[in-house]
Amino acid sequence: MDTAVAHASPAAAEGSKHKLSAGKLGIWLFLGTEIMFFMGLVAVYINERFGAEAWPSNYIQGFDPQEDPYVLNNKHFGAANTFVLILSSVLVVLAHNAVLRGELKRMRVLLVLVLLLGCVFMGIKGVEYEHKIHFGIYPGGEGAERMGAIVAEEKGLDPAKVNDGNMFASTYFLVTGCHALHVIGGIIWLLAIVLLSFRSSFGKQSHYMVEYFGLYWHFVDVVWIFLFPLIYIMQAV
Amino acid sequence: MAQSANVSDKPTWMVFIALIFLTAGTYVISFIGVIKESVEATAWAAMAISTAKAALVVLFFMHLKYEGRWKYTLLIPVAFLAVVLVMALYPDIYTRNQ
Repeated sequence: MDTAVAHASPAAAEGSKHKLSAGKLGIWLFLGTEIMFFMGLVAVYINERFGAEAWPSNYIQGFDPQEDPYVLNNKHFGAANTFVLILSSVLVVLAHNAVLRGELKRMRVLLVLVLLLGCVFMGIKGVEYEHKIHFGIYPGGEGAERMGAIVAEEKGLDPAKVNDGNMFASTYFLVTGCHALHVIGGIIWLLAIVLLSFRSSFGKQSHYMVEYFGLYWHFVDVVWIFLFPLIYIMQAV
Repeated sequence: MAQSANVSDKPTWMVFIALIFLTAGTYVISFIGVIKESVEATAWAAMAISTAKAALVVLFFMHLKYEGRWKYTLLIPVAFLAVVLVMALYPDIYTRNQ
C-alpha cells in the first residue's frame, strides 16, 4: 500500500501520481454513486423550491416566526453547522498527516475531536428537528399545512389548490435527513478506526484507513457546503 | 512512504482560513439588501461561493489536484450526469411558472 498522498502537499503527492490503489478506486466509485444520489435529491429540491407558487420563507405573517425563530430553517444554525463540518474536515486532514508522520497519539486525539464535532453537528440538527416537529412542521403535519395556507393566502391564491407547506417539510426532511444519516454513518466508521488504532498492529502503514475515511467525510462536508445556501440562505429571502 | 516526513500542516490551515472567509461571505449575502430582495440573485451568488468552497475541499483535502488522469475518467461522466439530472427538471420549473 504505497499510495500515500500527503494532503495539501504537492511535493509529497507528486511521487505517487498515477498510482491508484484498489481501495482508493473503490472509495471513489462509491463517492461517484453518492454524488448521483445527492444530485437527485438536490434536483428535486430545486425543482420544488423554484417551481413553487407560494413557498414558505422565514417571514410568514401570522405564523410567529419572530416569537420562535427556529420554526423555519434558521441560517444561524446552518452557518454554525457549516463551520463545524469544515473544522472537522480540517482535523481529518491533520490526522492523516499525523499518521503519515507516525504520530499515532496526535492522530487519535484529532480523530476523537472529529468524532465530537460530528456529534455537535447532529446535536444542532436534533434541535432544529425538535422545533419543527413541535410546531407540526413535518410531512403531513398540521403546522406545515397551516404555514402553506398562510403563504398562499398572502399571495392571493386558493390554499385548497396551492399549498407548498407540505412540500417544504418533505424536501427539508428528505434532503437534510439523508445527509444526517451519512454523518451518523461517518461517526460509526470513525469510531471503528479510533478503536482499531489501539491495536499494536496499527501504525504508519495503516494510514489508508484514515485516508479512505477522510475522502468520505470530506464528501459529506461538500454536500453540506451546497445544502447550506440552498436550504438555509435561500430560505431566508 | 518516503515522502511521509515531508508532510506539512501549513497548507491545510491556509485552505481552512479561505473556507471560513467564504462561509462568512455566504452568510453575509443573506443580509445584503439588494440580493435579499431576489431569490435568484441570492441563489447565484451563494452557489458561486459554495462552488469555490467545494473546489477547495475536493482539490486540496481530497487531494484530487495531485491525483493521476484516472480522476477524469471517473468524475467527468458523473459530473455530466449530475448536471443533466438538474437540467432535466428545469422545464418543469419553467412551465409551472408560466
